[in-house]
This record gives sequence, structure tokens and C-alpha cells, in this order.
Amino acid sequence: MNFLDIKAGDNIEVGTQVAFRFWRYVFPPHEAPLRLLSWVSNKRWHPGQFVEGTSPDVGEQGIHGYKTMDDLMWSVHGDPERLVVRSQMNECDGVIIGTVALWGVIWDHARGYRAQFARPISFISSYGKRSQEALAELRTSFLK
Amino acid sequence: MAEIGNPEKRRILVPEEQPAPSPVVVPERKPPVKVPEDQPV
Repeated sequence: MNFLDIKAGDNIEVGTQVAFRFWRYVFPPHEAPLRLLSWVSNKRWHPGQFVEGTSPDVGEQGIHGYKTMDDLMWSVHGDPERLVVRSQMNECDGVIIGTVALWGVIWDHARGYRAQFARPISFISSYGKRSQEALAELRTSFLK
Repeated sequence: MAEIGNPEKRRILVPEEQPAPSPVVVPERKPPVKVPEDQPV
């Protein structure tokens, strides 16, 4: 991380913050590997790589995550299936829920976080077309 | 994913498993090559 991001009085901790989030997934044609995409942007997440988001110090930017699974479920009114239609409107096949490790500059919110960096650490459940196949493929490729 | 409530606190997290920086290799110092005086440089 860029040490110029550290400001006087900042609380510096060693470690990462675990958070819950959801992504979109899409099965590309021609047997290519499954694509994992952010929910809002078309940012693609790749196996073995971390993602750097836009600066959390600006507006509502940064990589979002919820503090608990209950917070995530609250945001989707307890029904992740309702996200599937929205993902398919964006030409995706479904939605996957999992956890991420967050680090760098982090803003704590009442129900979640906005962070500078993230990498997936688990994939918990999936909804949509070929959802179990998507879950298995993501676990194999990302969590080696 | 926007329903995370109001911002409360800013902090900096540095992961333990930071990738190790590449070692800096300092080349050995070699003595300067002496050119004999009677040879054109």
C-alpha cells in the first residue's frame, strides 16, 4: 500500500478484516473459465490476485463488504434469489455469496466496510443458472 | 451493495503476509581496468 495514504492520528493495525459480499458470475462461451465480477462495476476478479478498488476516502468508493451474513441478508431482504434477476439483466448467470479479506485504507460503517484492497477467502452459496457448478469451479480456481 | 449504513471510523490495515520485497543485488566492485600507457585508448 501507499504510505502516503496514512494520515496523522490514523489507527494502524496488523492483519485483515473479514467481510461478507456478493458477486456476479458468468459462464463465458467455448468452455472458458467462469468469470467473477463485482456487483456494481464490471471489475473482474482473478484467481490468485487481489483487487485494488477506488479510494475509500472518496465518497462511497472502495470495495464493499458486510460485517456479518445477517447484514448481507438484511440488505437483500432475506432473499438472495432476488439478486439473480438483476444479475441476469446485466447478462450474467447468477450471484455468489462469500467472504473477503480486506486491507489498506478501511472505512467502518454501521453494517459493513469500504476497503482499498480485497481478496476472496471463501465462497459460501450461489444462486442462478448452473449455480452449484459455479460454486465448485470458483472454489477450485480461487481457493487452491 | 450500498446499504452498509453511515461511516463511523477510518483505519489502516496492513496484512501480515506482505509479499517479501525482492532482494537487492549489489554487484561486486571490480577493480578498474588499467590501460597501459603506451597503448592508444
